[in-house]
Amino acid sequence: MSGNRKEMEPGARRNPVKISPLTTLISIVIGLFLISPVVITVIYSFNSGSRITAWEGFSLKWYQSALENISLWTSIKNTLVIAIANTIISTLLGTTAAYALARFRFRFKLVFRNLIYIPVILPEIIFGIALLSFFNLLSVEPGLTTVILSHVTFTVSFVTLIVGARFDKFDFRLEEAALDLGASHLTAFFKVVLPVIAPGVVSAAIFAFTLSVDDFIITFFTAGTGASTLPVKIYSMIKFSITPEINAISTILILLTSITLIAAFFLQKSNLLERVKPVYILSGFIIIVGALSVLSFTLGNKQQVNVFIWTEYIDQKIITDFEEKYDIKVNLDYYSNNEEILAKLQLGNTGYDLIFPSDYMVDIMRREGLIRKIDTSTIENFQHIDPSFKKGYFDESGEYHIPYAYGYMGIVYNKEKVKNPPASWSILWDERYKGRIIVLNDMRELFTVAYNYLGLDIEKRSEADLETALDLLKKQKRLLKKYESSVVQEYMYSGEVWLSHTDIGTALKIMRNDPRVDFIIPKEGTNIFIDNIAIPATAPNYGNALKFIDHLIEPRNTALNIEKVLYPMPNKEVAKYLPEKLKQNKLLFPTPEQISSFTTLKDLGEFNKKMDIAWTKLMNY
Amino acid sequence: MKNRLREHLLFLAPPGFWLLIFFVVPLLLIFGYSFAVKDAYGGVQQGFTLENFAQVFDPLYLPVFIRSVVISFGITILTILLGYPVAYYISFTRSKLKYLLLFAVTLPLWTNFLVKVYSFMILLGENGLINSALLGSGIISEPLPLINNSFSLVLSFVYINLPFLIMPVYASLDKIDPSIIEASHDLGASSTATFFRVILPYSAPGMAAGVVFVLIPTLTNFLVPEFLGGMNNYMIGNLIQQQFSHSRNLPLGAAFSSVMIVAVVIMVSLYLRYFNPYKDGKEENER
Repeated sequence: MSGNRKEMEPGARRNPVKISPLTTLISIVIGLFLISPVVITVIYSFNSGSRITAWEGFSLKWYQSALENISLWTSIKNTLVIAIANTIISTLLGTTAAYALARFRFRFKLVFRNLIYIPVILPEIIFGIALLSFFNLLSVEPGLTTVILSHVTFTVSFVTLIVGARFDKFDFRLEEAALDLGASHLTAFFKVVLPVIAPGVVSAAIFAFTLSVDDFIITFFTAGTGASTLPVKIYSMIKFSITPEINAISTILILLTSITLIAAFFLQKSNLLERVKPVYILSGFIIIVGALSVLSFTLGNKQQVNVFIWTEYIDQKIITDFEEKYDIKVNLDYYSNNEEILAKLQLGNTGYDLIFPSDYMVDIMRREGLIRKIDTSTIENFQHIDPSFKKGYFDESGEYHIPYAYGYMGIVYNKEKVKNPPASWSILWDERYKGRIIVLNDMRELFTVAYNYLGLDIEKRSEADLETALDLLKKQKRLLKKYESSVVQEYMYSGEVWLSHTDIGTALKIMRNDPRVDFIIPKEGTNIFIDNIAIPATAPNYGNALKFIDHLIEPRNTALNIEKVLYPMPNKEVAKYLPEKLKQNKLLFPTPEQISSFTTLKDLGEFNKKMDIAWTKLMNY
Repeated sequence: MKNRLREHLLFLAPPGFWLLIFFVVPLLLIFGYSFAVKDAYGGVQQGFTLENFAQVFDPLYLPVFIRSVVISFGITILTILLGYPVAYYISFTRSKLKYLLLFAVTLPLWTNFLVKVYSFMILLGENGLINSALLGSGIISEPLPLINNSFSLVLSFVYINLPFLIMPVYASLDKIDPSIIEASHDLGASSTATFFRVILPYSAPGMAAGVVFVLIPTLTNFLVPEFLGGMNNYMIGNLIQQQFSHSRNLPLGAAFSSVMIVAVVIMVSLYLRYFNPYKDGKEENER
């Protein structure tokens, strides 16, 4: 068999298979199609502008900024550690499974074979939730290890299938012959079987590595403190402004990958695998596992604080200063919506010391006993917090939260295309702007807009009102470009979209880059969200968490933060440390009257189910 | 005989136990949740109910199911039609282009999905590279609607799926013994006949694996419809995702998931019966 393979290498004397010009053409076109997005990624990494989709000139500045971004590198390190461990374990397990399936008859073979397929096809979110619940049941604290275990579970099937395909048509009489000639089973496997399936094993290993590197959802659910991977980091970055820095990082990764692939190719070609003894594979495996445990042990020994936060919601300098001042390591992990933190806290002990839930989520977490009271007496800078934010319906005693930042919804619009500044939500139903409007892809936010426009109160939980709101949203649907929550900026920059339902922080970031854009608060009223600092009940480093809070809400640091994230922060002293331009920004400092006119989105309990059905109807409409 | 038993356990036990512990048990938990009662905040509370399943079979969700099935079958067929020739070419060509193509097939897998989404926006957007080129050269006078519609949905699904079809098909084509093909020619079969009677059957296991890799993940993918789809591309994956996130109804999400798992297991079992990559005939030479 292996002899035949060699004959098919280029340069073999005869090639019996004719390839039609059409096949060649299709292959070349598909090849170009496959690499074109990658090529674009590489080209745009040299873009001097800060917008990811518009070319402004050549520059290397994003490489510099990527190299300086510590959290990005931490996430890359995690990604690689996980991927390597996963590749080794899943290749070993998957190959043995494929061998067993091809070679032996045994009871429950059919069950086992079908079982192998299911991880491939299971929706990732189910996989993630299932594994998280499982680890919680065993009280395993999520971290790098849980991610590795999870990755192996979903990649092992791919390995089995790929290696299994290689076993098909394999003549096991060859192995029998080896056994008859006195070889042991293991020798026969390594000397006779492995060389034939080696190409399959190598491609399976590459595949396993790849799947692991790119996985987001399963990683998100099973990763604990300090185990954020690159995809998790990137996903949370899109919530805020994405820059060509991502392209620069991707380009570096593509380069590393290409080198690895070429190395793997030559490894395969030199038939090195046929010569490697099982002992080496095993000892290599032990060394890597050992290195991993040493790594996690050393990391585990230092004083630390584990922070779970929206991405780009904190200035990196504040973190570096804190680490220097207190000699406490800050582990940052990122999420992109409130429900994600809730799901994690409900299902398990996460190891997080600080989280940043929004108002209604503080309410839920407090009632569910997921967060603990914060002793503000040791937090010196707590005195600078605006007292009107210290308490809220979601935490009437104010003991469970410290307000961090807030925002409110409105409409960003392109002044060149929308001549008269809009004043009402009705602009989002204006026929003239058909195909130029984006609204948030978020059930609760979108229904709130409809209710506000209609002047109805969602708190009444009336089904008739819900129908009216649904009808209104159905009318809007054909005018929309998209339901979209993440990439609003790009659509505004490119001029494809003229009107977008969005929040103030996102709006200010767009306006900073694009003078054509402005923001309004519709006259019918809008809603506010308050993101708060809270401490999970299970926080392992409560004392360090308090120190971090104190550092974070220090007025100078808050000023740094506002400049960076462009969300209003309720701090009485902050204005004096802000640059003049931001100090004057009325959107960043709404008046107390404006703030009290905004409504908060409260949890609607069972009415959520009705809204969910209405949402499905809207999606189907 | 005893020796044989120990030997097969040696190979079977590690992957078997792994899947049992980290896969079967967590899945059973999800099945359990699907009969549980939702508490006020989306968590799970004690109790047993069939209400979640009653809701899953509400006709409200039928269009979502139909849409998902139609889209994913269409995508799978398209991916085979476009991917098979590439795998065929890579397997049988003697040109050095083979290695470039292998590289092109693997490379996209190494770029983060979201980064690729942005690249597609640069390419397909109203002011994107394709439209700018066409407008600039005067071929069109109005930008073509290339993004956020069914076109971009299909294009991006085919894009992410192609490597998952090409690789396994290539793996099975690659090990065809050329002398078999020569024999077919020597016996007077035409190239077409050789393809359909010899090459295609040999590549069946790879195709089987490829189809599974493409069809089912497409059925439950929620990111592609969200980022690159249009206004009418709400799929099962989005529905499940909605339950776990915005609607905070874990038991209902678990019920949808359970139904999906059962449907998929039935499909895969039927499929394996007809396109079994480990054909029973082969087991004869196991002895």
